[in-house]
Amino acid sequence: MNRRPLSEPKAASAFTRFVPLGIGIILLLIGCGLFWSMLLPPLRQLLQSRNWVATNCKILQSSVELVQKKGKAEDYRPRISYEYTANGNRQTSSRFSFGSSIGKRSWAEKISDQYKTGTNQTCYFDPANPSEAVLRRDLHELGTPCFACGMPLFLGYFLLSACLRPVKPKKQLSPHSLGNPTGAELRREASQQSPATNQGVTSPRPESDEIFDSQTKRATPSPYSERANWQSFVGPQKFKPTATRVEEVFYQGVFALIWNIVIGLFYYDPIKRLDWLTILFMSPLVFLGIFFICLAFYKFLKLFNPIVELALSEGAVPLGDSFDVAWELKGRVSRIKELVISVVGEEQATYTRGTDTITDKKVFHTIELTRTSAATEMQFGTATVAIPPNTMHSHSGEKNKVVWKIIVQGEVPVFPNVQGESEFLVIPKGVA
Amino acid sequence: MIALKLDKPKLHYDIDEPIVGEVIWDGLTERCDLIELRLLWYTSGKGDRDLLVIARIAVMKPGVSGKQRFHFDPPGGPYSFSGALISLVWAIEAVTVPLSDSQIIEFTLAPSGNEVRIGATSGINA
Amino acid sequence: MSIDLKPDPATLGCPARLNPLAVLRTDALQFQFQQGDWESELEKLRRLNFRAAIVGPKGRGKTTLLEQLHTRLVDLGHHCSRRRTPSAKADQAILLTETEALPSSTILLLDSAELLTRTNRRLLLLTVERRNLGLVVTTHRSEFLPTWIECRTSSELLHSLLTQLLPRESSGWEAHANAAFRKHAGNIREVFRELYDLYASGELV
Repeated sequence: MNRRPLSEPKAASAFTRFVPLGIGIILLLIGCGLFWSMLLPPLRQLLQSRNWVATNCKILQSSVELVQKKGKAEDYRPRISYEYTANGNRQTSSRFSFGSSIGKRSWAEKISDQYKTGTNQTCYFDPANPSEAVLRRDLHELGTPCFACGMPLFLGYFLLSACLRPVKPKKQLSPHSLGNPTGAELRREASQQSPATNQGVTSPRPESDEIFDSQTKRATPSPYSERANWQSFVGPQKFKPTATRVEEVFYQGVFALIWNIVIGLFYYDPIKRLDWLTILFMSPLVFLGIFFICLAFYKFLKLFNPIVELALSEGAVPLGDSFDVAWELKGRVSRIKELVISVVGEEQATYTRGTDTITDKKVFHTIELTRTSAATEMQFGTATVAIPPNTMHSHSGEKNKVVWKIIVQGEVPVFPNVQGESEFLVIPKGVA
Repeated sequence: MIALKLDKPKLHYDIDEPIVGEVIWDGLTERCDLIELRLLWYTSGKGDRDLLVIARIAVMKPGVSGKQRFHFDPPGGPYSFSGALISLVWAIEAVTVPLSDSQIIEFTLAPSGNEVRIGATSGINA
Repeated sequence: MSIDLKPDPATLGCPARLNPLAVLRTDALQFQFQQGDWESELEKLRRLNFRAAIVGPKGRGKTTLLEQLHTRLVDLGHHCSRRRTPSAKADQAILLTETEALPSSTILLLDSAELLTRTNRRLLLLTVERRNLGLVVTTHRSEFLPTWIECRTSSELLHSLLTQLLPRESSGWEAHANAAFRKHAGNIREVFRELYDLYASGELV
């Protein structure tokens, strides 16, 4: 029976980029055009009206007018006309504010109640053109023009970014954070010996097809990436946070602030108008804003925890060999109840179906370097780690990995724990 | 019909050993342009499959029947291993082009030739 | 987040490649129709003009059925193109563009179509109509195409599949399978993954 080859690739998809690139550019142009025509004029007027003159006016007529009906939704406008004196001349106007002045019936009625027929109010007129006047110098109903401009701008941006996104080479190892904040990145101070050659995991690489002799065909396999790339990890390695925790708190805090200010600005109008539908629709963004604030506070609490710095005598260790680890904790070490530093080997298997991607992890080897409650032992220590000869070296496939790492766990009562991990390379025998 | 045979009967290879063997075919159609031998490894287990073909040998215009010896230089890694979640398996696959038939033979590649077994082991560092 | 540094006691359990519930094995299972067979179901799909949906919640075999449909249609001489719906909107736009470029009469097999935005769904249908393409999707709900097959699971189906996967001498799995089936509300994929762990740890042999 004919058997489907194991190494035949499944249906591949090739994306063409030129058409979506063109669509993205067109969308951006449409968005810019809409911004120019719908948002810019009322914004410009609002800015110019800062020089307009305030004067008394008398309300001649105040009522509510149905503007349009779309199914069950109805849009209303307060219809207010008023009389004022500008430069000695009597003028009349019916302009309420900049923007569309359209909203729900309850809002329109509320405005009409505020500006009752026969009452005296304040209006603002343009000294350069006295016939131009408004009752309120604000922008109402920005939602629709914002949406109309924002949608094509966002869509265009996403299309362009997808088409112009460069293909990033796969990283060989991605050191995780060590030290207090789990979000901090570690940077290796490795001595670069030779440029690493990344080997694609799933793309086939055709090899030379020399004839060894007239009877045998011979081929040389492409080099195994863990062997080819180990040179960049050889020698002493030092792990310390690249971004300080204060910077992290600052960036997180600023982000949370900007987010909540922007959401607040969008939320102000619907709350004023009691537009419950919009309020409900936007509530997830509010919850997200609260989450960002909590995250910033969590990072702030971590400021009070010590930082862990690690140094390895060797970043790429052959199976069966040993290497030295030194650790130093800087800061308030006394806060830590118990410190555990271990070396683990872990399998990581990723499974994707539909929208679900799950990575299962299983530790297959653990070497505990230290477990201590004594502050002096926590502050500074060294250990020699022996990697067993009969275990598996580091391996990074697209979906399946074997990872070796140093894990630091420090239990801190009440406050966030000290925790982090950092990968190193275990290489096959005979490589170094 | 395609058959693959490796020189080592136990199919255990050390990491610095070449993989040498023979492919034999019979009853192929005239339309078969070539037989491709692929040295590959793949994973099996709880995660999706990774697969990498690291070397190929083409036998052009093989005809209806014949045989060809092949020699793949030592790949150097990764080791064949089995854990709870992942197994890595080495294999040579022979495929006719256009696709109509294929054959695969698995072997282990590791120091001392036996698959590396990883499991739950732990210890305190001395 | 705590990391368990005390793994299971030193038992190697079942190696991954021999685990009867390894992904390579479960993916190779043939889809089982509740009623009918491939011939009758393909006839039904032809009557729907190859525009239909495979419907069902997660873990019911929709993707498996789509993959096997692909093979069957290609064997019957149809030109097919199988894709997975990307979640990013920008990538969905690219998918639409790619669909536009398909030759006429191609049958597009699209997995996870529930990820399509409403607008993109409409655009896809328009493109399919205009280009005279077939379209078979997998989706959680039947929203924009007639239902070809509604994938359902049952404990009988689960037992039938496990009988194919597990070694004959394996015993004691029925109780675990039934419990897992109830726990995961019929999601057979999750049942397989749970049983995988039991075989890996040696709890089941």
